[in-house]
Amino acid sequence: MQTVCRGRGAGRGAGRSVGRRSWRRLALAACVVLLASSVSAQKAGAPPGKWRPARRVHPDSVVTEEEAYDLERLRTIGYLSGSEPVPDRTGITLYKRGRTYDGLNLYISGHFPGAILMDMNGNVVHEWRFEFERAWPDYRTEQLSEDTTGYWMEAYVYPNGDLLAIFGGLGLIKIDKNSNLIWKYMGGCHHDLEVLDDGTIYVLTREEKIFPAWNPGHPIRDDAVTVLSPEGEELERISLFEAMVRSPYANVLMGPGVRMATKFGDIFHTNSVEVLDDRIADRVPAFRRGNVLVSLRTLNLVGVVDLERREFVWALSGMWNAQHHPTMLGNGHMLVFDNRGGDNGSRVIEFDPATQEVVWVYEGNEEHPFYSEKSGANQRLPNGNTLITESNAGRVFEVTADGEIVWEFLNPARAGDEDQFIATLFEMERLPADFPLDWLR
Amino acid sequence: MLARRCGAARVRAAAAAVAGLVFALVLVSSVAPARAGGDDGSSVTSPPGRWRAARPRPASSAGELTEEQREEIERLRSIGYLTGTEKAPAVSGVTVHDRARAGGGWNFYTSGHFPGAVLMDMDGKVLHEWRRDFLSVWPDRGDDAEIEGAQSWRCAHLFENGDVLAVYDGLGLVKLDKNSEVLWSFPEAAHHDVEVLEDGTIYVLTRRAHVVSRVNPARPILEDFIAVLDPDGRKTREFSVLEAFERSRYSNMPACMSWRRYGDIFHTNSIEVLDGSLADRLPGFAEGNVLISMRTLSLIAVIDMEREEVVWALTGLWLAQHQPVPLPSGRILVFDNRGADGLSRVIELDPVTQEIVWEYSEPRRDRVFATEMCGANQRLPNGNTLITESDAGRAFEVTPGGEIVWEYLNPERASGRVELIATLFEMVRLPPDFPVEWSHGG
Repeated sequence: MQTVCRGRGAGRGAGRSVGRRSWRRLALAACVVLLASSVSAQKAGAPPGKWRPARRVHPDSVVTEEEAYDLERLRTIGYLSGSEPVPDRTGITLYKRGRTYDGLNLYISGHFPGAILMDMNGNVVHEWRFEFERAWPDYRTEQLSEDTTGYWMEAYVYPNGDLLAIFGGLGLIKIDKNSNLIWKYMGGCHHDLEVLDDGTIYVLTREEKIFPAWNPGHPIRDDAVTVLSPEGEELERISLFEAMVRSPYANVLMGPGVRMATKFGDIFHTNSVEVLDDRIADRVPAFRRGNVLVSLRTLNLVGVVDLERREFVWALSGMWNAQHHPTMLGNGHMLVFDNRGGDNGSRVIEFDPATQEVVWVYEGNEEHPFYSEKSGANQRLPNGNTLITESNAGRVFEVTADGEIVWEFLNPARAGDEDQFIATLFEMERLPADFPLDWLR
Repeated sequence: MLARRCGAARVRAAAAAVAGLVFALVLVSSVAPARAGGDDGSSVTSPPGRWRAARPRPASSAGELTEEQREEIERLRSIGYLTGTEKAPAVSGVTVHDRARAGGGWNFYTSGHFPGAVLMDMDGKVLHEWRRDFLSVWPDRGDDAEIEGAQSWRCAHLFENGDVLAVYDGLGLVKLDKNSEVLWSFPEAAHHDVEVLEDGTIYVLTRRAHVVSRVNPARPILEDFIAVLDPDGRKTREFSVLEAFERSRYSNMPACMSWRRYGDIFHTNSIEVLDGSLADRLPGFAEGNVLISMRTLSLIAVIDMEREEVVWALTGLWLAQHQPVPLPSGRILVFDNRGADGLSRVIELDPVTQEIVWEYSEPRRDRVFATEMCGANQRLPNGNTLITESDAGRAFEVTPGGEIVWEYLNPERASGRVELIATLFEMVRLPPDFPVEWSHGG
């Protein structure tokens, strides 16, 4: 096993600085939640969709003479508004052939309600697009606290080119390869879905609910795992709040974050779902086939839910903060995108869920900053590399087990007078090399 | 048989007479501070030390009483309790003893009524007592002597020759001989728990109230430390539990989980040295690492003593817990103070799978096993579990099937607005072959 510990010196000084950061982050997070200011302020001037200020200087780019001049100019004049250079390189910015796991890349971006299929060189080989208004023309979007109709939050491509897409907090659509609507399901779908071999769909949904014993005053957002037939009919809806309350882990609801989150409604902020197989059930029975692995961002908790008993049967927290996308690997380990837990921002960790041993970490550093406050995704590739989506930075990169970046993509979708906004890249998925592509012809 | 029934009837009548008032008080005290003395559990009318409202004896178990117990009941009734307005709980001392099924040995405990410890046999006969007033250890610490921690021993460790280590909670650690003469004293703020290794090295929890600006620049915190002392009480090492978190991959834990960023942010309340028996399944549980419990975070964690870094942590299955102890079976026993729907329970957990393989709790309708503070548990060689329900002044031994085969109620009572029972911090069962010939009664 490789262990990469970038910037995590064994010295106490490093440890202290982490603590300092952690405490500050708590205060910061509270401010963000309370004021909801940073994002909206940053977003002023951005077009509809999901955008972030673009990272100023691309760390991996070779600095040209012009860029060097610009950099020097910037150093001397300071960072006045409108004076920053925009990274001039977008699309594929790094490709070390022979060291990557090659395949087509499916991704969704905050700039449009669609998905893009792209090869390793950045050539778009297919696009899907379907506007929210076409699926639900009568929906009154002004009711939304955040307009999520302008982009997809999650997409899944079938071997025949059909595709499932989520409008965050709203609905799920299935379209064919030519973006014709096959069916739609309006069930408060959000964040993530999973399709089983038999076509059954597991999707996160949510609805505003009042649980009299918990929140008599105002509704909370009750996240659920909803099971749909391949035709989009709702078969079952398992409330995650109820699953927590009836589980031995109900005590986590006494935690400080939960009471605060209750006030704001988004009590769990469940952001991923994965259906488990039996690969580690012999070591940890909670991970039996058919149970689901979920990530609860508000609680900083990764948990397993037994859908039959409708209760949490395993839970872990402490190693990550506002995490995303826990996913089981072939070796029985778990990969987690830890948004705010790293020394240098975000990190991706691989650990053994039975022993809590961390066997691999990818963190950024000064040269390669890596931070996504929200969203984020990770995928272990068959050759051992890891594809990491740094969503807010609009960046995706493939790293080797040694932490070397061998492929990188920067979202070309920019906006603003100075192109200062980069569209959030929610998730990129590398399709397997043998993924059928005959439907493309 | 008739006498037995009469006894039962009397007890039932007595219980009924006080049920309304006292039961209500017990309920309240398990949820909210029902006492006027603040959050330390003492009432304005309680004597120095650590006291709780005594629980009425449930009528259902009164039929089990022995002759001696009934006599005890009568005696307690007849003497009354000074203020005279509240009836005393019916029984005290050893109230249940199933000789066939209870384990043998000696019981060593500390109680809130005095700065000392008691060694007692299974029948409740006191073999030996230690006692050392705080001021006689540290004569120039008059102000500290007023603190509750000076009035009792939160924890004690008994050596085979009758020496004891005793913790004055938050104030100091002292080693006494069997005659309670001071061998040495360690005047720093030891608290809650002490462990002695085979070579005589001592691990003790300590703490410091001070401002740690990276946590909170304005308000002080109580920072917990693990201190290592040599057998003669000299501190050889000390490190911060907070820093052990910060330098670990669990650095998010304090920030994510604390209710507040001031005061008693961790409330570390136990330390156990691991023997490595779990290390093949859980490398974090390597020999020499320590298992600690942090009440504020409802978290238990393992710290690597060499790297002074947290290497394993678990939360979620308990609330305000005490005394996680590793068992030879590879499991962990945890005293979960408030996780059973607000009541207490003891659970045996597989730390690899998070499965709860055994649990002892008492349904609300029958009895109420609940201690808001403190609490301890010990797995005995016969498979039974000795549980200390501290606030209730009760220790009892249960079989794996959950049957109580031995029970002890702290006889130390005090009159007050309601009758109070002294907190029983922790009872430890020593094996039958533990040498006690040095004791007064041995």
